[in-house]
Amino acid sequence: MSPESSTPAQNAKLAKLTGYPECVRQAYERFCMKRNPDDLQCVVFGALAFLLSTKPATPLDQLPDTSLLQQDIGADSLAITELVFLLEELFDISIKNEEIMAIRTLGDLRAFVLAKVPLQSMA
Amino acid sequence: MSRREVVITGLGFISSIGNSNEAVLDSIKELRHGIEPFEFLSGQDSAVKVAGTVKDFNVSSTNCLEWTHPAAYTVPREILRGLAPHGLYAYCATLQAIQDAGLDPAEVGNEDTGLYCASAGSPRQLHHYMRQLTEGGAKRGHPMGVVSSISGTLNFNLGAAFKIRGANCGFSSACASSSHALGYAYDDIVLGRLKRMLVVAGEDLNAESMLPFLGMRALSLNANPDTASRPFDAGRDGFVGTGGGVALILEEGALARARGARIYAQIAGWGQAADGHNIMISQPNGDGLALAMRRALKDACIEPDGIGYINAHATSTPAGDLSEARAIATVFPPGTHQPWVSSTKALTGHGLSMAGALEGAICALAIHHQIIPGAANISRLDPACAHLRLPLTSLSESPGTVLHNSSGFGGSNVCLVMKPER
Repeated sequence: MSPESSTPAQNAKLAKLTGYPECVRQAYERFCMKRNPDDLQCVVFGALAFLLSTKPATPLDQLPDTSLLQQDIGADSLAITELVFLLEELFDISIKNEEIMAIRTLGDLRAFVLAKVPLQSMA
Repeated sequence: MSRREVVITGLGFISSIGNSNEAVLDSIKELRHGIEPFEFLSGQDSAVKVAGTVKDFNVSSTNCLEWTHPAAYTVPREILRGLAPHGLYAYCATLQAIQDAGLDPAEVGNEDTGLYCASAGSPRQLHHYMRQLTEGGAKRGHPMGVVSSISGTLNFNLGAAFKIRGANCGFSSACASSSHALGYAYDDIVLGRLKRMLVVAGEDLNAESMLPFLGMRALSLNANPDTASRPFDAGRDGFVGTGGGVALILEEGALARARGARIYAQIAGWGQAADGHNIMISQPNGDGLALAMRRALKDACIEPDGIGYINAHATSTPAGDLSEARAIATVFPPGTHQPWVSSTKALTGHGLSMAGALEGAICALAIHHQIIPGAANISRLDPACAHLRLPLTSLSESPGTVLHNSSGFGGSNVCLVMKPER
């Protein structure tokens, strides 16, 4: 993916965020250009917040890292599966079941994505 | 011991002829059809030019987040995510029916309330998700790919959405599916297994759901929306497809009366029989349907001369309508009592697995509002159907006890008996 211009592949990936909040789409576009970890977290936490049936009173990035995705945040197992599929599609990664099972908290999710998604441009 | 009474207390429609009870009733009274020019494949000419369109919804995208629906409905994203296009229609119809019946969520989500559904699934969504899967090298598939696509999609989604705990099941007998759902829902209440049933059916309206019927030469090629669906007319040339969602609430009579519910109609019994003849085509003499009608009459303990109106399955295909006309002549021989007969598919189009629920709900409205639905679009009656007593306009009189016919692929025939509450 070219870091400086929109490619058909990038547009196809952006289309997967149709219906998601604009801030998530913008963060994804910025991440594709700059590969900045803060933008990556905006995409992941913004998408997760959108997938929750009850919107969090506090933005996810202001909650403690120890917050449990299911019990504290209210993510049901389907929402987590939706998030995993979206991340695989957006970032061309493959996430194993064991990896999903190991992600229990917001901190786990943040660390997992940072380790899994290449921060160097793939161009 | 007398048989438990089963009554219909709630109706919901998202249909080509209206998205409310009032709109559907008006369309039936005035014989106003819901068929319009329809482009099945964007930018491509299709031999099929018309359909019974669903108004005020846009589900043309494969992404449910882009769908729109009337503002009167609230559809949370966690419900929307698993729905097929017809799931959205059916969800809205179910909300309508529950409100119409005056039920609160606890009266639906309990051990005594069940849900029976019918739909053919969503070939469009299935195709979309399969393409997504194969384009990704079969490494990953959308998590909602199965539950929003396969033929159980309505019962999966609505069962969870409405917290159904009594029973949850889907029926798959093609165009008889939702009449089977009504019949078995009736049985479960009569047998005392359950006290209240939601019967919900739906169909997509798109190229993937309808155009395959072109391959079997079942669809009308008539481009005129005013005449394309004309059951029993000599010029009929196939059915006009329609989509939508329909919901009915069935209750044990004593339960409905105890809570002061408004009762549309009573289901008095039903019957079914099979043709044992052909994958698609009805047995030419309608023997299976005639047997289903006789069994329904026997189950309801009523003689043929007690029937005032038959809502025919007739889809406007040359062979199917003729077979049903012969079945009716078998049960109601010419020279004996002749009930009124019409197929409301002339107005709605053919809703496939939803047809039985759509027409059952129309019969409930007709019984409650004392209307005999007219037989629309007959300009030249097929001489082979001349024995049928067809009301060419809707009549402002009670239909009395009603037979409601459905037939599906594989020679599956269902007949329900409905009547005014006692």
